[in-house]
Amino acid sequence: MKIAVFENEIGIIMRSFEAINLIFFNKEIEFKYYDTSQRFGDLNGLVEYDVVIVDIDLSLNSKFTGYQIIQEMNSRGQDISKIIVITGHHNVKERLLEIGTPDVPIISKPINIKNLAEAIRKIVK
Amino acid sequence: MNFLKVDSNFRYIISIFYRIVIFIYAIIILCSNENCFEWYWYVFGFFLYWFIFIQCFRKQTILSKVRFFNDYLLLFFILYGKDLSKLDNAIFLILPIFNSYNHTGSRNFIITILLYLIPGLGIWYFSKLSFLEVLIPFLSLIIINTFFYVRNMVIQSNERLNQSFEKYYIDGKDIGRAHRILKNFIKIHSEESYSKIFVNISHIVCFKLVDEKIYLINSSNFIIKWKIEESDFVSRLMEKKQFKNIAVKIDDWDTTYNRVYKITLNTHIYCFLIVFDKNPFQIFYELYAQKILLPVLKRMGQVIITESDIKNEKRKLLNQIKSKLEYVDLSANAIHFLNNKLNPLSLYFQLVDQLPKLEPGSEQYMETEKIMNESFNDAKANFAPAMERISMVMNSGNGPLAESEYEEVKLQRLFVIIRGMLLENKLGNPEELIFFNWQKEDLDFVIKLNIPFMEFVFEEIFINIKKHNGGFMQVVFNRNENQIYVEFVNNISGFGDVDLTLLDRYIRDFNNENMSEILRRGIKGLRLLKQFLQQLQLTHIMYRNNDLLKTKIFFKNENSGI
Repeated sequence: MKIAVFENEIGIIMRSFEAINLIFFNKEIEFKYYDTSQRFGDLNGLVEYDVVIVDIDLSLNSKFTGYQIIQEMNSRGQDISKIIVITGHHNVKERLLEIGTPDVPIISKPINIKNLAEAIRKIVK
Repeated sequence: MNFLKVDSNFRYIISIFYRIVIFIYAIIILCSNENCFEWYWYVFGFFLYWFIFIQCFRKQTILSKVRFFNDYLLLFFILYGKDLSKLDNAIFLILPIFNSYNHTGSRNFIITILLYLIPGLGIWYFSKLSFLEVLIPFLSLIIINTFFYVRNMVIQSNERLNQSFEKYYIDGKDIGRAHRILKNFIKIHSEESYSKIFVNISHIVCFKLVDEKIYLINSSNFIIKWKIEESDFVSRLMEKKQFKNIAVKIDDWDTTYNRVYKITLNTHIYCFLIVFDKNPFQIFYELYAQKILLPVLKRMGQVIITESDIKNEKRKLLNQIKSKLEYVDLSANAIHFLNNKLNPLSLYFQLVDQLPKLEPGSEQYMETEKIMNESFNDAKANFAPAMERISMVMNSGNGPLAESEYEEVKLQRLFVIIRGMLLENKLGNPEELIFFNWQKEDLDFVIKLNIPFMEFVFEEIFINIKKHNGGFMQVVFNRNENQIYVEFVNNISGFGDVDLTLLDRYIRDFNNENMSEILRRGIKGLRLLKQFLQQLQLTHIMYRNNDLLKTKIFFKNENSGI
C-alpha cells in the first residue's frame, strides 16, 4: 500500500504515521512524505497511490496549497475519495464545501492514530 | 413644509383674493357708470373670465401669461366706453400692477413691460392727465416693484440653494459624498434667473488650511492635478478674506474668472474657490456674493466639517476593530500552532494506551515502545515553544477584555445610552418603559467607566430580556440615601412551565463573587457579562420575586464603600 503525505511539519507528524503503520497495518504501508507540492512533481503521479493525505497548511514555498492539491486532483479526474485531510485549522469543512469536495474526511491535529487508521482502512477497503 | 411651499401657498390664496377684488370692483364700476353693453354680456364676460382663470390657475409658463391677459381683457371690457379720468376707473386699470408683487408665474421681460405700458398708455390716452402726471407715479411703481422683486428673488434663491443641503441630511444617501452637494448646488444655481445673465458658476472647490499648507478637501468635479500658482497665497490668506481671479491651474479647467473666499468655522479654516464661466457682472456681483453666495458657503463648510467628523469616527472605529481582528487572527494562528506542537504529546499518551494491548516482548511491542519514548522526547522539546506562543497571545494586549478607554462620565450619559438601546432593540417606547427617580445631582454624578464595556453589559441584559420576558419589562433609575442604581425588571415568559432550578442557578452564578467558578462552569452568556461587570467594578445583584426577574447595577454604593 502506498500513501502520499503532503505535510510541512514532517518531523513532528512522521512518528504518528510510523505508529499507525506499526500497530494497525503490520508495516504494510509505504509512506512517502512531501513538504511542498513541487517536491512531488507532476500531480498526475498521484494515481499510483492508494491514499493521499493532505495537510491544509503546507509550506509557503509550496506551489499548491492543500486545497489546491485537492482541486487539481479533482480537475484531473483523479479519484478524490482516496484523499484524507489533516489539519490544525477550523472551518475546513466549509472550505471543502466551497471547492466542491465536501465528503473528504477531516482528521484534526493533534492526530488521533486510531481515527486516522480507520479512515485509511475505509478507503483501502 | 419649507419656506418655498408656504410662500407658494400664500401666493395662490392672494391670487384668488385679488381676482375676487377685481370682480367686486368691476361690479361697483358697472353699477356706478353708464355701460355700453347689455347686462347679460357682462354676465357672460364674468363667466368667461372665471372659466379661463380656473383653467389657468396654479399653472406656469404659457398659462400664467394667459392669466395676465385674461385680467386685462376683463378690465378693458368693463372699462370700455367709461371715463378714465375718473380716479375710481383709473385705479381699476392699475390693479394688476399691485398684484405683480404677488406674481406666481415666471414672467418674462416683455410681460413686465406690458404690465406697466398697458395701464400707463391707457390712462394717458383716455384721461386728461399729462404725460408727466402719468409717468412719475408709474416710474415710482416700477422702482418699488423692482426692489420687492430683488428682495423676493434673494430670499427664494437662498431657500432653493439651502434646500440642496437639507436634502443631504434628510436623504442621508449622500453622506460620505459631500462633493455631490457641491455638484447639486451648481445645478440648482444654474437654474436661477440671475445665473444665466449675471453670474454662472462652473466649479466649486473646497480647500482646507492646515499648518500653513493648503489641502484639497472636496470639489464639485473630480480633480487629478491642481496647483495654486501664487507663491505667497497662503500668507496672504492669513490676512485677507477674499481674492479675485487668482492664478490657479486645475486639470483642463478654464479658471480665468474666479473668487476665493476664506471661511472660518470653529478653528477650521476653509477656502472655497468659485470658478465662473465668464466674468461676473460687477454691479450685481457684490450684492449676490454677500446675500446669496457667502451664507451658502458657510453652510457648505459646516457640512464638510460634519462629513470629516463622521469619517474620523469611522476611522477610529475601524482601528479599534482592526486591533481586535489582529488579536483574533493571532489567537487562531496560535491554536493552529499548538495543534501541531501538541502532536508528540498526544501521540505519547495514545501509545501509552496502546502498548498494554500489544504482546509484550514482541517486535511490534518493542518498536511501539521506541516510538513512544521518542514522542516523549519530542513532546519535551516542543513544550517550550508551545508555552511561548500562548504567552505571546495573552500578552498581545488587544484582547476584548484589554483595559482601554476608561473615561469619566456623568450618569446622565448612561440614561441616554439606555434610552437609545431601548429604541434600537425595539423593546418599546422608552417613555413608557422607564421609571425615573434620579435627582439632578445624580445625573451629574461622575464615575469612571469604559463605555464600550458598559454598553455590552446593557446590550446583554436587553438581549436576555427580549428572549425571556413575558410581556412586561421596565428600567428603573432609582436611588436611596446611599445608593444610585439602575434596575432592569422583566416578567418571565411561560412562568408556570419554566425550570426554576435552572433559572435560580443562573441567578446564583450572576451573584457569585468567585470568578474562577463562573469561568469553569458558568453559562456561556453569563461569563463575559460577569467579566465586564467585574472589570467595571460595579456592584450588581440579580434576584427573583415570583415571576419577576430583577437585575440591579449600582453606580454609587456607599453601603459597600464604593
